[in-house]
Amino acid sequence: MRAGLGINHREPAGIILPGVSGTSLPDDATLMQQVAQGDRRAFLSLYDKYAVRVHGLSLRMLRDAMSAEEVTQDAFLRLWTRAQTFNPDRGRVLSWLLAITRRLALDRFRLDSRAPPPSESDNPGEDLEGLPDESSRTEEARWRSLRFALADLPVEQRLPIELAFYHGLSQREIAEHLRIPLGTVKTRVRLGMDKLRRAWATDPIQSGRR
Amino acid sequence: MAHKEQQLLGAYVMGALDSDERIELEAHLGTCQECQAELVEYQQVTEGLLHLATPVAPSSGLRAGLTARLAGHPGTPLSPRRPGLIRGPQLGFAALVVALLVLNGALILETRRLAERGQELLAQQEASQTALALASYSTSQTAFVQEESIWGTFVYEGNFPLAVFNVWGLPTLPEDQAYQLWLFNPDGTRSTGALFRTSTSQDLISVLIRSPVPLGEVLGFGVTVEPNTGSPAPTGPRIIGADFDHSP
Repeated sequence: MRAGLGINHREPAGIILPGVSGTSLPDDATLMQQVAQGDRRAFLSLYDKYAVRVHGLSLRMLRDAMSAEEVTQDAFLRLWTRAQTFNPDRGRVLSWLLAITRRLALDRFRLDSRAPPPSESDNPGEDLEGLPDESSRTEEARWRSLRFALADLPVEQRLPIELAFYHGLSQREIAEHLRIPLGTVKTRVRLGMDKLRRAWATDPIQSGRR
Repeated sequence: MAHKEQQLLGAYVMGALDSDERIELEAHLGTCQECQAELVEYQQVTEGLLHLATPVAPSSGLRAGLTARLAGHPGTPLSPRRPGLIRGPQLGFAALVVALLVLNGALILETRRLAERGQELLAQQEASQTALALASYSTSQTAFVQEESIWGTFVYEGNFPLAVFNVWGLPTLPEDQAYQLWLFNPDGTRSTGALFRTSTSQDLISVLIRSPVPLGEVLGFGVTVEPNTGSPAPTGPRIIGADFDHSP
């Protein structure tokens, strides 16, 4: 059976069609305004752009593919339902979305009463591949510097920071988990975070690290 | 000059302080500009920590699931599938609710059935919306197909990887089977465009077709009967289909 006629491949006029990307996308803040008005195409544009980042963080925190995927889905549902609360003056869409993802993942930890991970820090070098190279003269370069700074921390300082940030433990809970005095945890968190703060404040281009 | 409260800022931005320390620090922050400035730097660190995870692609089904959940609900709040953090007295109430749900198996089954029906209707609505959008293009094409008592139209636009298949008269299949629509690629391979079932409650269904390439590059399509989880390649008899003629 033959069917169909000849096709003219001209560029279509603007129309909302789910899942179809245009040749030039508006910026994130504009997309968020469109999402707030119920534009599914804008939503899917943001999903296609940031799903790998959101899911990467979910998986990094939860270490379980199914749970991570649920959190990723919930994060994007939050983006859909709360887009009108996003204020571009307070930061980037990706940071807003990742902050939501972290909160959802921490909620999942608490909901599942999940035990913290083993008392070993991650291998901080394993995540370096996903970061932009140092020639990137943008905020991404600072993330790379921060990653190196985190990797440079002594493990006894890095571990409590990771337990606090990625697993939502308080300093008291960290002390119980690691079976070390609370005062020791406080000292290590303070020293480690101070190093990260100084690393962040250092211009990664001018410092020319690594 | 360093304050003792400054030593708490790193833990504070991660939410790792006990409540008494947090209250004490927040009171201090209200009056100390030096600590406020340092707090901003620590907040930038925690924002940076969010960006350090290696990017990982979720499954393709996640995007499809989100699309289905949003269809027909522009701008309306959708409840997350899982509840958020439950604290204190709420926990007892939540436990009671959960216990009631567990005990009432019939209610859960009914809820699930309604949810499945809702997903089906949402998918129908999404297909209808897409068909409406495609119909507005002067370059959209409609392929008419017929096999005995089955009639259908395949609506597409050559630049887009989306199409809609409207079909009448497909027999209802057993629970363990489904219709799988295959797209014929130029290299001779077949791609799944959709996996769907018909309902006894309606004679016409509209199915959203997703193609890995713009439809202008697809040579045709065919529908076969497959297991309800789908097959990697056609195994069942071809129920209906058509070749596309892209010649001008």
